[in-house]
Amino acid sequence: MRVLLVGSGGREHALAKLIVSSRNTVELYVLADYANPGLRREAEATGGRLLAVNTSDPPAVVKVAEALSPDITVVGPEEPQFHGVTDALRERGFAVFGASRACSEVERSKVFGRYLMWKHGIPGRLHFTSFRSLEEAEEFVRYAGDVVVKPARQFGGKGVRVVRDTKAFLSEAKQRVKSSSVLRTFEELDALGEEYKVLVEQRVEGVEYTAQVVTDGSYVLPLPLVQDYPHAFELDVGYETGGMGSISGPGHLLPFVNEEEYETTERIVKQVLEKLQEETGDRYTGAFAGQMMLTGLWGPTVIEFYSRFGDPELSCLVPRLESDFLELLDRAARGALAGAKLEVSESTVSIVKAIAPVGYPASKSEASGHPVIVDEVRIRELGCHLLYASVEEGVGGGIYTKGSRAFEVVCAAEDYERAYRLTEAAMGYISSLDGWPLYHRSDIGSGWLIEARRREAERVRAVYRSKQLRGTLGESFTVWMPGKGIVASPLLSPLR
Amino acid sequence: MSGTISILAFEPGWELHRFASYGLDALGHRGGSRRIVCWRQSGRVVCGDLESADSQALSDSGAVVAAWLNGRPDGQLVEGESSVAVADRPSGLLPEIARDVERALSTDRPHARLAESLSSYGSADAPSLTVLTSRGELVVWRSSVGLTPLVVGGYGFDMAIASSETSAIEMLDADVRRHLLPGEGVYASRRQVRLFSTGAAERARLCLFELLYTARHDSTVDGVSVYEFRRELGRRLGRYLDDPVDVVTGVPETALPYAVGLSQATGAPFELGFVGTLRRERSMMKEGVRERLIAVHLKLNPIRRVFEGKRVAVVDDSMVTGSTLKTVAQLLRYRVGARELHVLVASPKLAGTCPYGVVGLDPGSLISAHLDESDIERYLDVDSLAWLREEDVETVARGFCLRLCGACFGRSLLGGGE
Repeated sequence: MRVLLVGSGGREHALAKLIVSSRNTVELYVLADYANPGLRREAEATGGRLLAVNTSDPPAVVKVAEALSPDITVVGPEEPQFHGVTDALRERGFAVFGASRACSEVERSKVFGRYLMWKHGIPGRLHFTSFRSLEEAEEFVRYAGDVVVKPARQFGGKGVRVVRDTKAFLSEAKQRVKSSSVLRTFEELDALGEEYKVLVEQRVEGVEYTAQVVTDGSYVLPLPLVQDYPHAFELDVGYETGGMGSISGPGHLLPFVNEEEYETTERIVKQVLEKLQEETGDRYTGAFAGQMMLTGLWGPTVIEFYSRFGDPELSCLVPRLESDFLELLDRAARGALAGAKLEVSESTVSIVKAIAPVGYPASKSEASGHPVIVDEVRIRELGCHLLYASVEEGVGGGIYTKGSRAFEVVCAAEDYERAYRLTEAAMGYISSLDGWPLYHRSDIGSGWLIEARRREAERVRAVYRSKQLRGTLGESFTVWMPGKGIVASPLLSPLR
Repeated sequence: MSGTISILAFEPGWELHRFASYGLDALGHRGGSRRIVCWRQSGRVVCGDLESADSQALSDSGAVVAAWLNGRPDGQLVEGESSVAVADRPSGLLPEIARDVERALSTDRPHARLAESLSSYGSADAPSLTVLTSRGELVVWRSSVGLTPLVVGGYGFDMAIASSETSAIEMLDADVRRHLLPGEGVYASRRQVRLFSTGAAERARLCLFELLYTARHDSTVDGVSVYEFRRELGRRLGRYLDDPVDVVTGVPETALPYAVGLSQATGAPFELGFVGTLRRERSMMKEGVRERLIAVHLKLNPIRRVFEGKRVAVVDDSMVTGSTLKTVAQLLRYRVGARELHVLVASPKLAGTCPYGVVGLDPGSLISAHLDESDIERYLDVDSLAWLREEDVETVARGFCLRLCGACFGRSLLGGGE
């Protein structure tokens, strides 16, 4: 079976590994923006190749597809979807796994997905408001209180400011930070010509997790839940990143999410997919994910949507998958997913850790261009998988960092303690050749951090269960204004 | 006693002087007498009073260290070439450690080098540290022996905060992330945050006074709720109250949870007994006799109706010179007219000074080290007097899985087990 995989990073390397493990004979071609050596090797091992093109350029991708005539094309990242690559391929009759441009709007525009949830009363929605004009946005955040300020469109996982504002004595200082954040976000999105620039959302707290599914538009097949770790640094501090690691298991759950919460999450995701297709009039074929948070407000709550697999969330599946993933992608692409099953090892858990050059994520230029070396044999001896992410081959075959997370390591074991030891050991086999420091988060997958999450989940669980009993799930932000009465959220839904 | 709060901002625009100021307010109970703040300015680290510090420079600094220090700052603050080091207690080793830290930070793997060089102090009597460098790096390290706590928190994607106590992190609207174990440290800059460890010393333990007196009731120390620990000791006191009482009260503020525990154990009602004037003062930490008495007198105006004609149990966390309890006894007996006075102390008898300099105790003025029980009872002029025994603290410490240093009570280890 000839497979064309579009995309260049760690998620695509995970996809490549899942694809080539198929019981079908696979010939894998990869279309990537840069020469990712891991992807190149996966392709070449099957008799295929890595081809460098701009993966967000529909004519360029179509041209390659026409030359190769793949049986299926898998589009990994969101940017090609936003640019219409999946639609262009489908128009030419190719079987494609990947959301259409219209469907990927659910990720691209942060307003759209939220609007859908409010319009159809889908549980797990947060109060928010979005702005076209800077004046309105500035005026609003002056009184907004405890909120998160976000760019109104997907912005490479950047630009989110979580400004907890529950202490009046620090409120003025926080208000100034919010204002400057609004200004910066506004300018950045204005330059992109976006209609809505700034989104202000009520802040919630709890335990985050990702719910990924594969769908052909009518049948929805969930993957095991994954927790990813967005903070750049250990102890959950520092910049927001695309994710410094993730964990999955046992089974399809996480140590801090129970079956009932899993089912609620699944219902939310399915409802969103249904309404999204209604709204766009387009069939959703591909991967879809809800970046969720277990909160006291709702229990399972939506923070973001992804119109693709998460990175590094998907990597967790690599050592745990027991069924044929390619078959799944293929059935989804052909609209024949009904009845398909995903078998995942029940007896193992997995941990993914990303390693990045110092400088990431604040200074991409500092983090770029460093030669790195990996002892892959040793990592394989540990039973772990190495995924190549933001690295490329230079002249002479050397591998150089490109400024983001360079590699991911994924290890599975019967429990987290063992998987943790393996990932930490594997990290020791990755180093730079020019002495430039690389870093990873030693706390991800550790017993104490999982325990901290479990306690946090218990805390919010008690709150949402009490709200559930009182029939007030999702209700918050009601303010009593003397003379005016009880007012709902100052953050209004878009359906005013 | 002292306390620190240090903040590193990953994003610009934070008014760090406000955070430092409220952070110090949140630690004011820890008994330091001088508050300083250190920040980066013109390529150097400078320290000064919070009031006179340039608030703009402080915010532009991106990282600050604020601390309450003892009256005599010797051995608690070292201002080096490119960094400033603050210790949790006076230590002659501080200048040497500060130099080693500076050297480790000039390498390209600072967290690894820090672990290496600080581990050589594992067996020595090294204090816990907070260091700020002129490059904006922040290092906190809890000594291998532990003794005083150190906790790390985070605020959104914007700040990392380290402090002596969880309540200071919470007061800054941030979240507690980890109680550092003895020997654990964090290296933080805008480009990297790394947890490192030099390993805990075999004799690693937590100062009993931290739980007994120093920390706030609303703090969590090494995962243990200070309030619950105190209330539990108070419950143990129940077995030493032989006479029936009408009311149980505690010397504010620290002894209130002990009194709650005693009340729960005996069934006698807990009542608030005193109201203070001016701000909360830490009487035990005052250096002169007169200063200590002033602090005591300011915080102890009795609520008469609670005590008039009653049989009263009064609880305090510890007895140092006995002057607080003497004052209380005089007040309640002669000014208010309590019928009986039973004093219960929620810790064993103090036997000597603190060998680590964590608690400033003058061995010459420890009443329990110089007088026997009946003499102290006579001096206080009370109907009965009882202390908790070491076994009680031992049992409670084990219940909370704590290893405590009780050197000043004559026991180098309480709980845990050796």
